[in-house]
Amino acid sequence: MPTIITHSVVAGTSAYSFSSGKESLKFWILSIACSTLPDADVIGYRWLYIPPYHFLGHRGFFHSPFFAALLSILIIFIFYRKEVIFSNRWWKYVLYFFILTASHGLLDTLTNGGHGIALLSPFTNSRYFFPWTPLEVSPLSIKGFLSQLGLVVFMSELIWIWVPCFLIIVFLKIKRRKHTP
Amino acid sequence: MMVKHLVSAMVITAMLSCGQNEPLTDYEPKSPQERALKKIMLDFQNGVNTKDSKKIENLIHQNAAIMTGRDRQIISKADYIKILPIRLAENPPIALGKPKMTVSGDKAEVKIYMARGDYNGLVVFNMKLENTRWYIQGWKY
Repeated sequence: MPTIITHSVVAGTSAYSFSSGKESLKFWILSIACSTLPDADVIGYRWLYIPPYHFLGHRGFFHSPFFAALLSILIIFIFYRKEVIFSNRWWKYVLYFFILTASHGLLDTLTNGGHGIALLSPFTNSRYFFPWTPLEVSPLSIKGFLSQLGLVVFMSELIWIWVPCFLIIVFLKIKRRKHTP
Repeated sequence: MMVKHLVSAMVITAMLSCGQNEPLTDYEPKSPQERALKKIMLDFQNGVNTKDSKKIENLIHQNAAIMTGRDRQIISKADYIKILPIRLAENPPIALGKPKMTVSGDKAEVKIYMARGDYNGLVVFNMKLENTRWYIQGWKY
């Protein structure tokens, strides 16, 4: 996986792109939660003896777009109860949180190690990578992350995710400033 | 508010990372089969750490299917034996953690945490009982 920090950077960029500066703190926290939550399956791998190739294993069901869809709808029902169901705004939030959660699995398919991602779960537990995998896979342990490997991982994420995210924010800032009367 | 959440998340992560691995030696087997399986795993750990490829070879079943490398390729015992000395020389020692064993007739599954250098992950060993002796029939990670 890319590191949780990097998934949060993607969340921050997405939230900034979506919000136009009018969204609440709740929106920002939920954005980060959605983009990082799929990695909660690491708990099963590290402590509950669930092997990664299992349906509920790391990079399994919780990394699938199907789970992303369920989570996004759940979030709207719990945290955006005032939104009128099936209204434009309701769909906008559902789509936003869906894309953000699904982005986690899709980013993981760009990594060069570990098991592939169960993108079609629960229909099949087959695991997939993109043919192009520029991201160094992040170790699952904190000890591993603080090693030399952690630096290599961070550098690859810096180049392929942080810099593009930074450029998107700069671009949006300039665009929004131009449109401000 | 944000900082408070961030600090809480970091503390929880740190707590979860601590005390994860009880060593295999501390595991109390629940049956004679589990005792035999624990011995196989201890021998395996010892074989890897003393770089004794012969010892490991003796633990593996003739028709074993063994997963190797980052690309998780499955190879036969014969092919594994060929690369074993090199792998033992290249890799740091291992420490096996508390296992979870499921025994069913002449087959068993041993789920066990393996620490090796910066790696710490779950490995699932499939075991086979043959002529009153347990053998490693394969492993996956």
